[in-house]
Amino acid sequence: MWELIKFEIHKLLHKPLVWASLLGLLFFAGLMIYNWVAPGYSSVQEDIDGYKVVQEGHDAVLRNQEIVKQYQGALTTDKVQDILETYSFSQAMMESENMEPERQRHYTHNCLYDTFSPFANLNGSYNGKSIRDVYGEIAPDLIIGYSVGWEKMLYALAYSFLVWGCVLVIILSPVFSEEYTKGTDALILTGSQGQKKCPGAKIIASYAISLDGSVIFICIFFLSLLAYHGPEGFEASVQLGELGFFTDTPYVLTWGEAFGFACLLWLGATIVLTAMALLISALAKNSFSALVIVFVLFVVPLFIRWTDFPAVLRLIGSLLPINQMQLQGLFSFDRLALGSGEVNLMWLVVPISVIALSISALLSKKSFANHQVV
Amino acid sequence: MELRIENLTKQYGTNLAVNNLSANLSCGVYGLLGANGAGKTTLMRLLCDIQRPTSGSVCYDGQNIREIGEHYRNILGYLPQNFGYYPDFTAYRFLMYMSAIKGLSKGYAKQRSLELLDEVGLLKVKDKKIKTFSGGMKQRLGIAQAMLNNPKVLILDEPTAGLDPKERVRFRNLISTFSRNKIVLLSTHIVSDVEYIAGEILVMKKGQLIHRGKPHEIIHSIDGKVWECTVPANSVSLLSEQYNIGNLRSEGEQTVLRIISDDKPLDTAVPVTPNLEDLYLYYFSEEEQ
Repeated sequence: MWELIKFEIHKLLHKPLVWASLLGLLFFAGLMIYNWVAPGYSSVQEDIDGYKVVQEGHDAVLRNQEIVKQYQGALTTDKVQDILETYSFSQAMMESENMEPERQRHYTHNCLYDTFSPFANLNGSYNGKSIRDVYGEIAPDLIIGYSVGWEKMLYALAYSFLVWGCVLVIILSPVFSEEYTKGTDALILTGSQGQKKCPGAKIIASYAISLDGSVIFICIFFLSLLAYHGPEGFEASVQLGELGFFTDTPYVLTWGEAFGFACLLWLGATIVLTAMALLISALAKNSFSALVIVFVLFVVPLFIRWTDFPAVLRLIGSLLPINQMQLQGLFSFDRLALGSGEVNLMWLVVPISVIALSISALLSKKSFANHQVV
Repeated sequence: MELRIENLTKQYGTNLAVNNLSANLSCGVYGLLGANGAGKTTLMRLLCDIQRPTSGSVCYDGQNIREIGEHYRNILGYLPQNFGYYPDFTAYRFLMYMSAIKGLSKGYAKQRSLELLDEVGLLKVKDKKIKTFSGGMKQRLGIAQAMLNNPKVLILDEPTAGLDPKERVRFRNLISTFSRNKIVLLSTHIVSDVEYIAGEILVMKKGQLIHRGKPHEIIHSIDGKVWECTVPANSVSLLSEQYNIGNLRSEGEQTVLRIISDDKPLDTAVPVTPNLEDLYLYYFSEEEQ
């Protein structure tokens, strides 16, 4: 069986189109890490004695971390006011730098100022909102911390996963259908292992590639986070991010927990996508139609406005692989009250993945074994 | 050891590809002769259990092959008409993969693969990719993979297609050596292949077995139906339209025609001893046209 699995992995990966796709993926991932995770584009601008002082790259990271340390801990309205006041630009500085004072909020300051811009008027002055006004009931439980690295890493990885998903479609859709196209189905199905062990090996090989690839992908981005920003901020709240990626999360969640859930969603999406590809591949008449069908099923849900639908349909939409990979949908659902506690809906991914894997494995194996050679 | 085919039928829509066919096959080499569309490939697929019959059954040693499943495939070797392969695999890797599909141990697979590559004359190119092979080389590789598990039932669909005469002789010798205590069924259009090595010939037409017997027996069935005559060269085209011409040999201004006909075609025609090719043309001339 192990020999068969090795052969099936070889067959799936050793194709020019697959290599080209993987190279493209690596290039895209590199670009995302460079643009989002690496500190190259990071910038901190401060007004120091009427002069604009700009720090970029790694210096900006260190300065941000320094500033955050002063306010680390529970979020309060006083802290927010202090941040806006301390780090705003003076009129004189803005005029000397040809900046527009009435649009101060649009300029880069530091990660905390930018995070709390919902509390500022356009000209940068405090707009009088309390933390409850902006963040609701959970406001007092939110924790300020250095969120930049975590947020950017999750943001970059979520979008890179979309590309990885497309590459997986290319790798996996020929797993069964290629045998029909090449005419090797007749040889395989007349072998003693052709109807049971061979399809089993194909299924195992497919999941080995998809899950290992996803884990490696996550590790690359996580290591880049550690390299460029360190682990600081894992205990900070996801609602307090510079990009606002998870502002809509209606319950307290730290970046460390978010990363854990994100991994659950990514791996769950990988399993469901693999299950889908296996089943379509076994049922399709040829490789091309398998590729097109899987690709359409994977990508089309991205273009549906799920926010227009009732909550149940919106949840179903969020659980589809492509939306699951993007994270935001599922992170915006509140937890479900269950008995005396609450359950995060993201855990639905576990039974869904198990069911998808089981049904797909059973049906694709049966379909291939019963395939009538023409 | 016996392969029993009982009232086997395969219908595609309104087309009866195999029509209530029955036959018993025991040890030996069987040649399956038939024109394109006679149902040979469908029959072979049914015998390999990669197509489901509309009705009827195939039994190996008294047991339905659909029921014994893996046990039957353990003793089966098959070369399809359109041999599928993986272009970027080397010949050796392909045989190792097929060995894994056939459940052979790694050590035995290595030894057997090298043995068969040598038998079919591909040992020197075992590490070259299949996509670089000629048609004949691919066909030889196909034959090799069919024999990996030393099958008791070997089914070969057009195995000599693309092989040159030297390769065909090699193939015939290989099959003859291999076929001791085995059931070998091979289909071909090249009647000479079947004539030399088949112990029995099955003639298939429109999904049915119309003739079965040893080569010399079935050839005798068209005794008195094969004629030779010498005619002027300029009358050949007219006679070709009227009669089934088996062979044409120019001798200067004259042409010697070999005609297959139930009745004497020309006054100058003389009956000759028929061969298997004549038999093929006798039964399948309409299909070939």
